[in-house]
Parts: sequence; C-alpha cells; structure tokens
Amino acid sequence: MKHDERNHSRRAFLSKSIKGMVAGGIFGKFTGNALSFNLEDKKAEAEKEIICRTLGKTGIKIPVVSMGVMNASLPELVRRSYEIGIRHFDTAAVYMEGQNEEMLGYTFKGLGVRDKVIIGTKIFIPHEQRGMSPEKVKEIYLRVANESLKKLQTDYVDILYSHSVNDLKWLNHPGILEALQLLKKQGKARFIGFSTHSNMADCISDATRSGLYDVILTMFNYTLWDDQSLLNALKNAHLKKIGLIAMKTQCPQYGGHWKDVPSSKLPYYEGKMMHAAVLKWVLRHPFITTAVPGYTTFQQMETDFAVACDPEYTEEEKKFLNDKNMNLSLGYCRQCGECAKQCKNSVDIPTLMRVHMYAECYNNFYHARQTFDDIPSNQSLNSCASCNQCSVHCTHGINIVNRIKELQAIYG
Amino acid sequence: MKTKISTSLIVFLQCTLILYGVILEESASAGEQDKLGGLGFSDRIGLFPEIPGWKKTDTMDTYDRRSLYDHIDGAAKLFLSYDFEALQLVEYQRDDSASVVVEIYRFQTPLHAFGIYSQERPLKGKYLKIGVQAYLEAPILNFVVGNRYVKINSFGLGKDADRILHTFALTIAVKIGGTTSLPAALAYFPLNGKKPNSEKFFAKDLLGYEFLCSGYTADYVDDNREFQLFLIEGTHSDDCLEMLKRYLQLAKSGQKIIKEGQYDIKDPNYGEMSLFWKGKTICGVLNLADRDKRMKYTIQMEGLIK
Repeated sequence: MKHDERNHSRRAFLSKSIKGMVAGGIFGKFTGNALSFNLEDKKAEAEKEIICRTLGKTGIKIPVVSMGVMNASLPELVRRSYEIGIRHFDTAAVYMEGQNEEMLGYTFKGLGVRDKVIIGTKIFIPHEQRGMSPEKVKEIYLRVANESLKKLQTDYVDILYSHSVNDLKWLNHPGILEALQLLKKQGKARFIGFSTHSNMADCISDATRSGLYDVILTMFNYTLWDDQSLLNALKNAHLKKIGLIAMKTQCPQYGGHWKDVPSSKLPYYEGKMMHAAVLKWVLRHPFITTAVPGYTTFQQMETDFAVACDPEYTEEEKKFLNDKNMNLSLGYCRQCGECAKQCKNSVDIPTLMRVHMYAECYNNFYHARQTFDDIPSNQSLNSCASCNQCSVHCTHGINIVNRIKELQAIYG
Repeated sequence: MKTKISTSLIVFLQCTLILYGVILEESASAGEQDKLGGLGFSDRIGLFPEIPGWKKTDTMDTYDRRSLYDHIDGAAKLFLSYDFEALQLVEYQRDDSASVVVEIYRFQTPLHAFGIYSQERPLKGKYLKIGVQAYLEAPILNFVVGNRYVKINSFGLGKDADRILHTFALTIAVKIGGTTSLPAALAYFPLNGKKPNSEKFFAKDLLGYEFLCSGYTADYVDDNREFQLFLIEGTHSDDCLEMLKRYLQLAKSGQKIIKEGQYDIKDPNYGEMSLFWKGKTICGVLNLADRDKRMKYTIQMEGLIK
C-alpha cells in the first residue's frame, strides 16, 4: 500500500510541524515571550508558538515567515515585524535605489538589534549589462557590497546574494564567485547565495552539484505546483543542506491574473484569504526554510505572520484554493472534459486530474484517495495500464501523460 | 585660442540643433497623446534624443504593466501600485566602450511619477533643478518630469560622469516636457524643522494602513527629536470621516461622535499621535511624544491648508 505509506508520512509530518515539534531536525520553535513589546495588548501574540526551521548548513534557525522588505519604506513596519517575532529581513541594493537598505539600517540601529536579526541583501547587474569582463563584474560586486554595508550600518550581512541568476553562465561567473568568496573571507558576508526567478531548476541543480553557494532564494509559489523538475531540484538541494528561501510566494498580487473576474470580486482574490492560503502552500514544503513575503501594510504583516504559527489550511482556504477562478489563473485543470472525449478507453481523466491536484498541490492525500475511489474501476487507472499509446492532448497545455504516470506511481 | 572658439561654436550649434529638434517634436507630441493608453504617439516617435558623441543601440526595450516584472523583478509591485503604464529603455554607447542606459518610466499622472521618485530619492544627495527635480549620485542620475520618472545609469564614464549625466538629463527632460513643479500639496508642510527632500507621496495605504488612502509624509527634526508629519487629501469630507472612524476603531478609542477638529490617538504601531480633520483634509503628527509640540505642528498645517 504505497499510497498509504506516503499519505501517512506526509500527514504525520505536517501534523508534527503544526504542533511545533522538532521533526527530524527540520523544525524548531520559540515563543516570543522573550521579545520586547511596547504594548500590553500585544503580549498574547508573543505566547504563540512560532515555527522555525534551520537554513541548511548555515545553521541559522529562523521563523518560517520572514519579511521581504523590498517595497516597504516605513521603519515602523520593520520595527513592528521585529516585535512580533520576525528575525530575517530580505532586501537588495537596488530596491528603492538603495533607500530600502538605508531604512533597514536606520531602523535596526535605532532598535539596537543588529546581532539578533538576519539580514540578506543582493547585488544586481542588469541582464543587458552582463557582458562585462570578469574583472569589471568583480569590481562592481565588491563596490556595491561595501556600499550596502554602509547603508545598512553594519560590518557584515548574514546572506549576500548574487541577484537574479537565470543561467548557468552567470551562476558560475568567475568575477562573481571571486567577489563573493572574497567578501565571505573578509567577514563581510557570513554566507553567500543567489536569487533566481526563472530557469530555477537548472540553476538550483547546478549549484547543488558545485556546492559553491550556501543559500538559494528562489521564486516558489503554487503556480509552480506541477513543475517536477523544480521540485526535484529543491528536494536535492535541501538534501545537500543548501538553505532554501522562497520568494514571490503570493504571486497573484502582482496583478493581471484575474482578467475574467468582476472587479467587485477582486478583493476576495487579492486579499487576506489569498495571502494566507498561498503562503501556507509554500510553507507546507519542508525543504523551504522560510518565505519572504513582501508586505507593505500592518494588516498584511499580521496575516502573513499568523501563518508562521499555523500553516494548516482552514476550510475557507481549501475552498478558495479549489475555486474555479483560482484554478483558471494557475493553469490547473479546468475540468473542461475535452481530454475525456479523446480517450479511446473512456478513462475519467478530468477526475484523475483532480486527484492529482489534491495530492500534489494540496498534499491532501485523504481527499485525493476519496476522489480516486469514487471513479468506476473501468474508467480509472486500470484502463490506462492497458494502453501504451496515450494520444490525449490537453487544449490548455497540461501534461496529462505525466500526471497519469505520477498517479500510477501512487495508486497503481 | 582659435581651436577653443571653434569647439565652442560647434558645441553651441549642436545644442541649438538638439533644442530645435526637441521643440519641433514637442509641438507634435507628448502628454495628450499618452491619454490614449499603452504606448502612445510620444512613445512611438521616441523620447530618446541624439546625443553628440554617443550612438544609440538599434533596439529599444519596452515593458508594460504585465511585463515590467521581467525587468525589475519584485520591485514591479511598487511601480504598479503607482499606476505605472510603460517603460522604455535605450542604451547609448561611446567608442571607448562607455555606456549610458536611459530608462523612461511613464505613469498615469505626474503625482504618481513624483511618488515613486520620492520613494527612491536619498535624503542626502546632490540635487539639481532638472524637470521637477533630479538627484545625481554618479554613476546614476534620476529625475522626474511630467508623468515620467527617468533613470540614467552609466558605465565607464570616469571623471566626466557628472557632466555627461547632466547633459543627458537636461536634453531628455526638455524632450519629455510636462510639469516641472512639485505637487501643490507639499506646500501644506511647514518649512521649519523639515528635512530637505524628505517628502514622500504614497499612492495608497498611507502609514501602512489599508483603510487610509493615498497621502504625503515628511520628516522633521525639533530639538534633535525626529518625527513625521502626514497629509491626506480625500475627494470629499465623507472620505475623511470614514478614515477617521476606522482609525479610531484601530486605536480602540471609545469616542463615538466624530466632527472636524483635533484628535489625540493612541496608535498601536506609532504610539501617541495627533491629527486634525478639516473638510476633505486630514493632517497629523507621528512619533512626537510632546503633545504641545504636536499641537503646534497641526495648527501650522491647518493654517497652510487652503
């Protein structure tokens, strides 16, 4: 009963994580009652257990929710984030033309908490200017890193990234590697890493092989739920103890995904529900140490950080993630039924695609199994097993054959 | 001497020709056509002038609301919240491999262009009167003019960087046209104690509160104490009434009757603060413990608001 073992394993793991137990050395916890709070009515928050994970071989243990500072310009938002328990703050030299780092440095200096926070910053050279000589690239990296330290009002950053690495040439660029390693040797960067927004699987796999980077900041969100090459690359990197941090976790907020949704319903799709549900989806992957949602309001901060204490989906969030419009925006199976018409064995492919979604996307193996069991046996995977030439083509681009194979691995 | 005069004459003629070209194109172009949306007429003819000694690359990169993310990654979110419309990018190259990259971001309104600029400008910088305002921190020079935010980044300019960036900026600013004035509402901030160039415009969620609309902040110093003033301009007084009600709810204030005037609020994130509501305007003082001083500044702002 392979599926039962997998089911049990995942569910047990999640259950343990939610209770804040240390599972296999991945999770840790702390209560925030040692933190300083300015206001009496905030003390209750501090008693909640915050789930922490260790960032690969760096040994840094941080809450699973961090702050992506990039679009925030309010020192009070950073201060309040620190007060509620956030310890890892992600910025970059280019964010707000350096004002983002400046604000962060100003705030931490005022709070006097530099030694209690983890600061990650990034060095970026625009893609169209990456043809420079290695010497020039190294010079720019060293100059920008030193400017960042000045703006952050610190002698070191905890993680220094090469920003926006989307190809292996830039990943292994000698100028960048020399600069980062020199900065690490000088103690100006405790750990080095890279951020990646596209071609992630290749970059992560290569970095896993080379072992040159300590941390990878990768785009990771529910729209990538069926990207097996990325998921495998992340799992392998995690096994090699490379710290993995997720960014762009709440991608629908960048707009443009809801063109078919009436404007009156947009608050539902872009609001609190979306932020929490999709952030939970990311953090339910144990190879991700922490996420850096880029919040800009106190309400968003509270919504995001609440996930650090309870990543279990609520019933409403499950409903939201199953919402037809959500699925339309994700490239999920639209349940249009066109595939079923093409199958000469009359397999109930739409339902099998739902089973796949429940299992792989939501990790809800219980519901997946229930749905799977409801399919008549002559329309289920048995019929697929006798067919070696699947000619079914999804008009929306879903790789049905792959998903069927994955289901066969679980339920076959 | 003769050589110097000849050189000066050539430079003068070149500048005259550039400006002449600018004027000709301005007469046919810019803001009005942008109202069509997308890449308007002014974009099609290009806002990138010829600069003597520099050659434009053949291609011009363009980005819209959907593709901006491809260029600036997550920072796109902030730009989109300021009603970003389009970006054009052109690189200029010189024979010695030096290069200048010019990015022209177009926003729906001049206020939004100023807003994003205000978020990115440094407190301490070399400020110039180009367009509405420019700051120069070689190798970059950024400025705002009309509904455009222009970023000029350079590579390998050496000691001449300041002068060359200045030339680029002046020429491009004239070509773009549009308002060269700061937002009128900034005049409501008292001058005494204000940190120069600290004013910011937030397109939404002022002070980090989703119940507040767009607004302005400015940094102040009084007796070595740093604090902020803020200003909200609603479309009518009902807006302000609603925002004030929400603010009092947040602060768990028991006050039920809401009318125009001064309010002291215990803000859960900023601490003790004061604000003043008058008509469709709310102004306030943050991070200043001394209530009398808070009163002083709100009264000053009230006096400046028309």
